[in-house]
Parts: sequence; structure tokens; C-alpha cells
Amino acid sequence: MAFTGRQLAMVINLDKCLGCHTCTVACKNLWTNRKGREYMYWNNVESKPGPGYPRNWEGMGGGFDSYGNVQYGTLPTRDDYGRDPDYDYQGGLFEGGGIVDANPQPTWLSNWDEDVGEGTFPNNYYMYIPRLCNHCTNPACLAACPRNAIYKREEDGIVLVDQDRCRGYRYCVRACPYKKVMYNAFTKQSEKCIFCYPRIEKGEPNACAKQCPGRIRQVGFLDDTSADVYKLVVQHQVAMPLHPEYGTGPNVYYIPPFSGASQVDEQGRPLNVDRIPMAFLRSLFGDDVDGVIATLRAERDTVSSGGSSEILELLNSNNRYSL
Amino acid sequence: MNTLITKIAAYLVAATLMLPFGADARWGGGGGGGGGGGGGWDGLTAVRVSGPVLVAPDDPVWASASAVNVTLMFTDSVEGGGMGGGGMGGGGSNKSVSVKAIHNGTDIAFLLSWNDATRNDVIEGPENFTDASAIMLNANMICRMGQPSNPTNIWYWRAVDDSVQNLLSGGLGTITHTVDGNNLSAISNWNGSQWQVVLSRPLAAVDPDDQIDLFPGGSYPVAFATWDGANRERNGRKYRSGMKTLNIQN
Repeated sequence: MAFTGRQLAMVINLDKCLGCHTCTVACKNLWTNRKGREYMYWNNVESKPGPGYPRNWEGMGGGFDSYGNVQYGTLPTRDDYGRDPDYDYQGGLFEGGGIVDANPQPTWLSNWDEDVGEGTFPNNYYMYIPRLCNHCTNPACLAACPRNAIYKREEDGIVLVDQDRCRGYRYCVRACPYKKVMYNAFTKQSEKCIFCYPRIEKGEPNACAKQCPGRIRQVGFLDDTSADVYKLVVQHQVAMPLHPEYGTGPNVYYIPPFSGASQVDEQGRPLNVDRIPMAFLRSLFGDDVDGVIATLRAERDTVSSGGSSEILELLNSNNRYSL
Repeated sequence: MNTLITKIAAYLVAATLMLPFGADARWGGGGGGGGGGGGGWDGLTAVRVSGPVLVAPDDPVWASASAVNVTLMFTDSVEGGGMGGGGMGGGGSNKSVSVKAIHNGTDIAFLLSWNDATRNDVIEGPENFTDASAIMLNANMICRMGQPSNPTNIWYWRAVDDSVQNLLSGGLGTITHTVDGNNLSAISNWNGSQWQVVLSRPLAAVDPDDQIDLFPGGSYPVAFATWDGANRERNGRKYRSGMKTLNIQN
């Protein structure tokens, strides 16, 4: 059954993401600071290329096949998300131990691979990508639930897990190709990003968007022609969903990084070669990313030569939310 | 207006429509389909005893009841496979659960014993699933988990918190945990190779809309299921029996 309601969407400008994790902390403090959610980051920022969070989520499958059949991917393990270590503050600080050390020593955590990326100095590279539930037009989590415990709201397209219906079977966790449904071992139910719907209902943008120091997130309805989100996604088509090949119709869109530095030769002279390889960006956003980046660079060139660009003005907008 | 609450309310209305327990609802009424099975030869008798029935699996009172060995078949209603063994990771063969039942005129208890070499009663991450077992009363259309017009009443025990839930099910995906029916108790023991679980409830339903009333002298269609957490069994991925008959001694 195709979704016929209104759809809220978010645009995230990767060209301006600093990787400061303020969005993650805002979300963590607001929603996942309760028991059973210690390992959860409904919003996380990961360095790409890299295994991400949960570890190697891009290799876990999910989504839909070409016939529209939901795919049950791999269930991540607790270790894939990372185990928070305990610290003996009492012994280390107050009982003469002198050392506060992690126990056990962590070998993997969310953001463990920050800034690692790929390549060799001086042409190594990485980029940040903030990730949250995509509130998909065709959610694989919803399709996978044998109990109809997941629903998509007609009024804004927000996808929610009904905690009165969920029995913790975790088919949604497996089916979400973005691995953004998470299992709470305390409540023994699954949960996920709620797109800050209590804030949205009061006209407040999502905490992750509002708190972003770089102001890189825009939120609005895709059918609201006055919204920045509409203009960037629908009108100018410069914002792209992550991994569209899974067939779920994500509603978080990304401005691909387009102003990164060039590769350099041994003397540090620019080679006029993209430092972040286009092949890598295609693996994230599909083949259309070439055209989008070309458009964005042309707009930038227009501005730098004294012209004006609605797209670049949108990317520096002070009117980022249309709720 | 809080639209989430509105949405949840709509779901509860939908669930109510699927599970029509009005004051005039009749357990077993409107059914018919899915009957059969349950001949006398595989009947399970709840023997009348004196004294308490919520007792440990090794209590001598269980000697007064004879065990019925119930064959369980693997099934997976979500990802397919199963029915009659084979199946996905199901070990390739049928399993069985040994069942005894006793009552004292007020309370009834079942003793379920089944082999399980791994004890799965801790969930610390998404990869952990609990061992569990269940008794389906008013069993009908077992493969569909009952019918909207003839819901089943399930006692679901899970190892992870050693709790029993009173569930209603009127078709696939409709299981509803009714808090009102929480008059169920369990005593469980894992002996290294086998779960032994005693499940008990007053014969009289705490609320006849939420659970089936049981009476001495009555016969009831019943079915059993087990879930092995080590095999990631949950939901319709389980081992289950066909229809049996529970006879409660007068």
C-alpha cells in the first residue's frame, strides 16, 4: 500500500559537517539516556569510508529486492554497536589507585574509527555523515513486522514503533538496511528515532537539527513549495538519499561534499583531482551524484565570479525549518 | 492534539475489532473450522489432587499424573520452512514436550518438560533470544493462531524473566498481552539438559473476556509450543504441537 500522506524530510549538508557530534549528544540527552539504551545512538555521525555504526552495517542487507519483497538482513550483535566500558572512579580517584582505567578495555565503540578513512598521506581522505532513521516512504521495518507494530503517520510520514504492540522479535532490526531500528534489551522491545515528533507537533525542529552549530540541517514538508527542503530536494534536486538502491525511499537527503580539496603531489601542489573519489560518493548516493556535484560547483563558480545562486543561498539559509 | 495517542487508540480499536470479547462472547463459539485432531487417544488428563498445585517440578504430587508426550513440529511463519522437522536450523527432526496436568478444584497447573541443551535466559544484546514455552487454550486454527471470531487464550512463559503472560490471539499478528489476565504463575528449573516449567492459574478466569474459564469435568482443545533461544526462535519461528484435548477430572 503506497504512502499517500504528507512527508516531512530533512536535508543535511555534508559539505559543512564538522563531525562535532553535537547532534548525537542532543539526541542522546533527549531520547536515549534511559536504561537499555546505553548503546543506542538514534543519531550518530560516522567517518566514511569506514565500518560505521553498527559496525559494517552496509554489509548487513535488508530493504527490498527488485520484486518488492522485504529482505531480512543480518541481525547486528551487541559487539557491533560497541560495549561501553566501566570505569572504577571510586578506586582510582578516592582509594589510592591513582588510575581510572576502562574495564574491559574496549576494542570497538560507536565512532571508534573516527577520521580513519582511507588512502595514503598526503592524499588520505574521509568525510562525515550524520545518520538517523530515514522515515522511509516505503519502510522495510514496517514491512517486516509480523505484528503491524510499526506505522507511518499520514500527517507527516514519521515512522514509529508502537511500544504497546512490539514484542521484540527484531525482524525490523534485520530488515532496516540502515540499521536504525535498535533492540532494547531492558524493555525487550525495539525502538528507533521518532523524528522528535513531540517537538515537531509544537512547531519545533528536531533536536539534532536545532542544535547543529554548523546549521547544516533543514527540515520541512516535501509538498511545501516554500520550504527550503522542497527547493533543495524537489525543485533543484541537489539533495540525495543515502543508498537509494535498498528501495525504501529514504526521506533524509544529503548535499554531497563538493568543495573538498584536491589531491596533491609530493611537493603539495594541487593535482586537480578530487580528494574524495567520485567512485566512493557513487557508492553512497548512486550515479546521479556526479551531476549533482557538477551543479553545485557551477553554482559556486557563479557566486565566486560575482553572480548569485539560489541554491547556495538555500545552503546558507536562516529559514531552515518549515513545520 | 497528541497524534501518537490518537494513533495508538486507533490500533487498540483495531485490536478490539480483531478480538471481539464482548460480554456475549463465547469461548469456542463461532469456531468450527480447525477442529479435529484431539481424539481421546491423545487426551491429557488434569488429575484432581488435594493441596496446592503450584509446586516445584520435582514435587511428589506430580507422580499422581501421567505424562503425555506431545510431538512438536518446527514451523516458521515469517521466513518459511518447517512443518514436520527439516526446516531452517531446526535440528532436522521433530521435538517433543512431556506434559502433565493437575488441579485441586480451585487452581490448575501444567508441568512442561522438554529437552534444551542450552539455557537462554539472559538478554544483553540484540543477538540474544529467550527460551520459552506456551500453552494454547481454546486451540483452533493453530497455524493461523486462532480466528477473529474464535480467539485462542495462550499462557506464554519466557525464561528471560521467568514470567508468564496471558495472551489473546485471533489470527496471525494479533497477539495481545492482556494485563487483566495476570493471574498466572510459574516455577521453572533447567537441569542441564531440560527445561521443567510449572504453569498455574486459578480455574476461574479473572475476567472471562481476557481468558478462558475452566471447570472440573470439562474438555478443552489445547496445543503446546516451545522456543529455543539458541536457535533464535521467537514469534512464529518455533516448535508447536497439533491439537490435543485437555480433560479436567471431576
